[in-house]
Amino acid sequence: MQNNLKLSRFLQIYNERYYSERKGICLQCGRRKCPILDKKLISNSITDLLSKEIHNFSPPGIFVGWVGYPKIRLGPMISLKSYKNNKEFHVLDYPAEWYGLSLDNLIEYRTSLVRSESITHADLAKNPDYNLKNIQELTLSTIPVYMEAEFLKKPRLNLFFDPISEPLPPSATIKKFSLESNISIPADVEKIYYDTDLNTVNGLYFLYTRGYDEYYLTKIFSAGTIGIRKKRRFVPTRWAITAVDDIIATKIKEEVRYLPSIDEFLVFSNTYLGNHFEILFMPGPFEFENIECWMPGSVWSFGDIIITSEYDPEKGRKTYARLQGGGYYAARLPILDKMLNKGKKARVVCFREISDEYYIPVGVWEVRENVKRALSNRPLKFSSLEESLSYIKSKLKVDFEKYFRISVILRKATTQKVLSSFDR
Amino acid sequence: MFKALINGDVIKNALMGVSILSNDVKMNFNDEGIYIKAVDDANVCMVSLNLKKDDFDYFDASSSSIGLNIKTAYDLLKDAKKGEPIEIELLEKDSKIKFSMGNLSYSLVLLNIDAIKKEPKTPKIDLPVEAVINGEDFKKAVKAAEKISDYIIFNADNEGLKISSKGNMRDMFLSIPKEELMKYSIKEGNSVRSMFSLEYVSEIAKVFTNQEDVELHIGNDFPILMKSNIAKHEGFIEYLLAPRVEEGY
Repeated sequence: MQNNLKLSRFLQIYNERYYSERKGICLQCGRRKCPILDKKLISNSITDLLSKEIHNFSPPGIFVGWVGYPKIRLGPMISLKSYKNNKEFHVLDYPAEWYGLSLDNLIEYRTSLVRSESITHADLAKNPDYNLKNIQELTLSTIPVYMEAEFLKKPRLNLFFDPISEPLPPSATIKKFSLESNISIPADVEKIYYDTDLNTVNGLYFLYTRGYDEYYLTKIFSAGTIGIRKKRRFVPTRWAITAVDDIIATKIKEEVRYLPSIDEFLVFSNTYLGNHFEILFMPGPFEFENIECWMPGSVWSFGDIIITSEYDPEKGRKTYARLQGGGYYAARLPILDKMLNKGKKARVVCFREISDEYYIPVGVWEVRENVKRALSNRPLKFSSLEESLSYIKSKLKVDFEKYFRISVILRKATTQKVLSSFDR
Repeated sequence: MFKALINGDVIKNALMGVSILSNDVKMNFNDEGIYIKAVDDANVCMVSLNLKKDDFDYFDASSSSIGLNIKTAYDLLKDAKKGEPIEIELLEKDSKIKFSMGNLSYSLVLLNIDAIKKEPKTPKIDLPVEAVINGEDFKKAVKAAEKISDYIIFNADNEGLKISSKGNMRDMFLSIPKEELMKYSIKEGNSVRSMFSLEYVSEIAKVFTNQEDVELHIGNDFPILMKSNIAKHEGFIEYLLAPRVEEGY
């Protein structure tokens, strides 16, 4: 995974140099908008707000970097702008509310925050000093918190678009930090925080079943506030996002496998930020396959159509879905959640077609919210696999043969006979 | 009422044989023995397990049925020593089943029988070829096919049985003339070919590993019946597996 990240960082720097030479006006890359120009415009809009000292209400979030792990950069996110009410502060660091925003709006949201940093050791989460304890506890809060921060230098505007976590805002090394308001921790969360004998998996699942969503759970997991005392540690944000998705999905799978199967073919669809989803539910045991197709002009296409598939068989997979990373896990969880809520299991193929409208990665929350919206839409019902595939084929832009050739589940479903077809 | 004593290897193999396809099953007892019939969620493979009274060292049962999580039962028993006798007792009052080996005992809560999937109906099919192959040879052929592709092809004609698999870059072919098979019969004028998913056949081959003979009943693009005696007398486990076909979307 680290190699992939190095590659993505390299490509970002390479692309920036390449585009810079062309002054951002040529669009020879095939993209609709120039990412470098976008960055420049954003920089101009917030430079005046950056200073060495910031005192403000902020959403209760932290960022934990992964570079150099277990020595990590960690700190709370502090808002640069003031808003009238708590909800507006909260939305700044809460992707569940971002659905429907344009890429420009999203970037504006993220650049309204400063990512404060101080170097610490991941293991200190189990035995935090006063400052780290403050940082841990603020992540548990459900209301914005007032923070005072003094930085060593004025925050540097170095926007970084990450494929897994949300776009990373300006950052600065923190000199002094204090929490100046009360925090509000729900009783369920407080119980899990102080229960140092409860393991992480059960703690996370308990809170998930109590209605706390993936974004909140990722924050408190990343801050090392959950689990057996001696195993608590700070977890880099991008790892925490995938870990929480996988932990909860694995628990739900244990329940889903006992459910009866659906008896028809369902297709759910949705499109947002140039990402088009067609999700096919078929009768059978729980199996999941995510097929991603990056079209020319999209973030990871490099001019070609790139199709990848990651598959979760009935018996579960033991390896990391390295071809798709966080996107695979973010798509799988809402699908399992849907099955649990409906009390029916299915064999699922999720088609994700990414067009040139998606020219900047915004993080895997986009996949999660896109899939959630698709599943909340009314599905189209079909009586056979052939009919459902014909419909999906008409909705996808790339030649369906390419999807079919890579798909494990579709190949199985179209070639494997069932015993009932031999009943006379 | 049910109380029995049986060789641990037999019951472990029997439970494993069913658990590869299904988690929760209905286990039926009567004074002749026990039997289980289950199908996997995808309705591709069916398993029937029959253990007769004579296969047990001690057997006492009246007609009844229970719901059992067979995967958990197998997990509890799989560490029993080789050949160690295992006592099985139904604790009707507590709604539990108890497994004892030496001075160690486990009890497992029974499942609500109404919540368990209905026992499948066995399709009536006529399979023209019957071949009996050694369990080790069967496993060897399956292992070889696993190196090539995700499916295995059974061909049978007047000369004997042929097992093969085809990949993009390599092929595998195993021919067993009818004289080398323990038993071979084919309806006149028939030559059959059926293809099956190794996802299932590989698991089934593990159950048959230590068996002296495995009966194969083959048809043309039809399900295959694979059967083996897993106990000392008449007890057997058999699988009916639906074929794969070559045409795609």
